[in-house]
Amino acid sequence: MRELSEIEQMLIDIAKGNQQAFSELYDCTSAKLYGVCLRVLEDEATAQDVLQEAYIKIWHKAAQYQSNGLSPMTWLITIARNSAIDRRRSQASKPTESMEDYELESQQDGPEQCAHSSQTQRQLEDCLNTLEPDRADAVKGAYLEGLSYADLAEQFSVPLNTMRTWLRRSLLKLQGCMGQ
Amino acid sequence: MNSSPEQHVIAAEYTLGLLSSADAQAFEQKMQTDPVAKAAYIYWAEHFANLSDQWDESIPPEHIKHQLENYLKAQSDVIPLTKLDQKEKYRSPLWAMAAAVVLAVGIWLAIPAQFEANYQTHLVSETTDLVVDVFVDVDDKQLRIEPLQGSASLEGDYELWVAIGDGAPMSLGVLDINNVQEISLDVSWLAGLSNAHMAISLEPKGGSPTGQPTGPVLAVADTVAL
Repeated sequence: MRELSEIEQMLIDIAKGNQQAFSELYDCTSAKLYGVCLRVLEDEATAQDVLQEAYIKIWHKAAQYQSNGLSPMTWLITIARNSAIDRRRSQASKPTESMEDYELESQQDGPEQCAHSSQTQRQLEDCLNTLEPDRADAVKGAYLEGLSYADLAEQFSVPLNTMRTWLRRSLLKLQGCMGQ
Repeated sequence: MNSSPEQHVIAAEYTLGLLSSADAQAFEQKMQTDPVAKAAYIYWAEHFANLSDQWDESIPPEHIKHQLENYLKAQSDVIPLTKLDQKEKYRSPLWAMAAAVVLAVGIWLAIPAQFEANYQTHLVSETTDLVVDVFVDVDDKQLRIEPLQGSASLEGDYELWVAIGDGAPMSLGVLDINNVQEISLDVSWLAGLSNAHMAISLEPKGGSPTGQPTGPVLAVADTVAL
């Protein structure tokens, strides 16, 4: 059996309604999650609003954490990032591409969770470095800033379909490089 | 992981938030039954999360945590509906009136099963001190209204409304500002809550006489998927 991480233990306690655990989780994760919201939304007031929304979701959904197959920090980041992307897109009046949190609902038995070892991190970054620089930037823009295909096409001044082709090829190359 | 390259790309696009709404929903459905698709999603979610060092940490202002703690406190102060029948309030005219309005719009009071919210609407009035949370449990067709802050108006009653997309507002009844309300909903619009907003208006005592908001709108907020 894998040992429970500190954050994982907090999530288990939060699922039982432990407000002290929630307070501790907030203290040790809010700076990162606020950073995610700020980067995606580029506006402090909106980022603060979405940060609160994300923690309310965490409070209500903590009981479902253990069945979703993601490592605890990935789960928390996914909630904040998806909330921020949804807000960004609703503000832009583009109701498509919603990131409603599938992974919060899943009840399937997941495969073993993978921790973020420095090895896998280097692996992703090394693999991004094998891509042409603007293609790596497009992948990073989609993940770190929540950019849509339309946003990316505009930023890189290419037609939408070209951007889609670029990015899909980049993802295949990344997967080939990182392996399964 | 024996997924096809195409499937892997779709999983990566889903993780990044690049799929159209219909394609994202189709992928979510697939993950419910296909462990390979789910494993592909986890693979990408975990690998991309390794980029998280590139998000600069930033300490949020103090008041965010205080507001969250107040929210949690209000949650723990909630009176379960099953205990309400032991209280005087249950038989008070105000409660009866609220129930009557609720019935009038095709909703009835019920003892909730395990309430698990899929949607939340956090209504904050800019013109009054009113703060109300509305949760919806789509699977069990339950609506839960939690007044967090505010006092009753001397000028009338607060009425809660929901609008799907650009549709006309539909009444969810007069708010009971002193109690958490849980009501069952057997209505088709529950399916449209991903594109909905709710509002509170000030109406004459007993609620809007026309079935549409007639008084000032005090708060409006989008419904958010949890």
